[in-house]
Amino acid sequence: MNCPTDETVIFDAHQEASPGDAVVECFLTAEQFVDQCSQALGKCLGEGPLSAGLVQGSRFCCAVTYDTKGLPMKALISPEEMTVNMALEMLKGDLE
Amino acid sequence: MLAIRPREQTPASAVGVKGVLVLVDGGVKKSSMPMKPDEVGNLVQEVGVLAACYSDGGLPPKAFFVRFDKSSLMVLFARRNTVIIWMENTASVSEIEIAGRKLASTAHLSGAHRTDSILLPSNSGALPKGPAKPANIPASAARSNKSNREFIVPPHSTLTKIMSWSEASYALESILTKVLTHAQAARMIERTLAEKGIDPNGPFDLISFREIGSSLMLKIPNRSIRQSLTKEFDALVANLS
Repeated sequence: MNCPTDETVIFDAHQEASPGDAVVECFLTAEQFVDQCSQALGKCLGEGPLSAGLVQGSRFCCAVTYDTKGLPMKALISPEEMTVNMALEMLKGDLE
Repeated sequence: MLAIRPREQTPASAVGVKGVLVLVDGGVKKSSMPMKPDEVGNLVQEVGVLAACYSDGGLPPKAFFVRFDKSSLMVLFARRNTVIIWMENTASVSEIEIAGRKLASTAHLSGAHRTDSILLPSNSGALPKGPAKPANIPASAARSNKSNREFIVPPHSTLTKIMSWSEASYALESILTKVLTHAQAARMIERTLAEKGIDPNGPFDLISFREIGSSLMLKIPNRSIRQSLTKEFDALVANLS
């Protein structure tokens, strides 16, 4: 899947306000994968609910934070190769 | 081209790493995971399946990261190598990621690298007893927790003198790699030096260094990170003045 945006997009995954269909579609696919990662890896580590996840590929980066109910809270889609730290900091909301 | 830098000065903080697993060509090369061998095997298998699931159009993943309530798992891919780092949520993700990426890019080289001290598990008594080989812990860093902490001070914070542009570039890289990958930071510094007409092998001058560093800090898009790293850079310049 190609990155649907040419700049980093951060959006509230709780809200209905849409960052665009292509971005949402990309997010949903990536988020499904993050969920798959959390289930597989969480089982190995004996860990509980997920609070954040990131998948960085060659085409785009997707990072997600989750609320206490395990629902996606904030999401980031970027065409840049981002460090995990940078993506998490951006999702924290320390943005200009 | 920049001169080769002394890698002994790698920034590190051993606090917070629970275990590291290094895979080369899918096989376990090193493991310090506090797990039973069959659990390590399961983890390796799951990561392999996830990487295969992700691969789209022949392009492999570069990184996975999941943060749970109590701990986080970072998986870094680099061609033949995969580095899996299990850490506490209080650990410094940026520093561990830098060390992890370096390890991922060199793990296939036999005897030409060592595990960065930051990736030593906080509790080194938790090394596995199974077939996975224990991590290659540098003797100087493994003597005790106390000596570990002495070893892990970031280099740029203790610098009081820089003799060359290569040392200066390394100090700048140490700061920038908190938000950029190592290659991105190195490229950005090289490009800026070239733009300013500075010969990396020429004599170092603090005024140009301050100017270059300040201009690079301005390129960090996130305000709070920029402020934090600028403060770090200013402290470095103050040490050197």
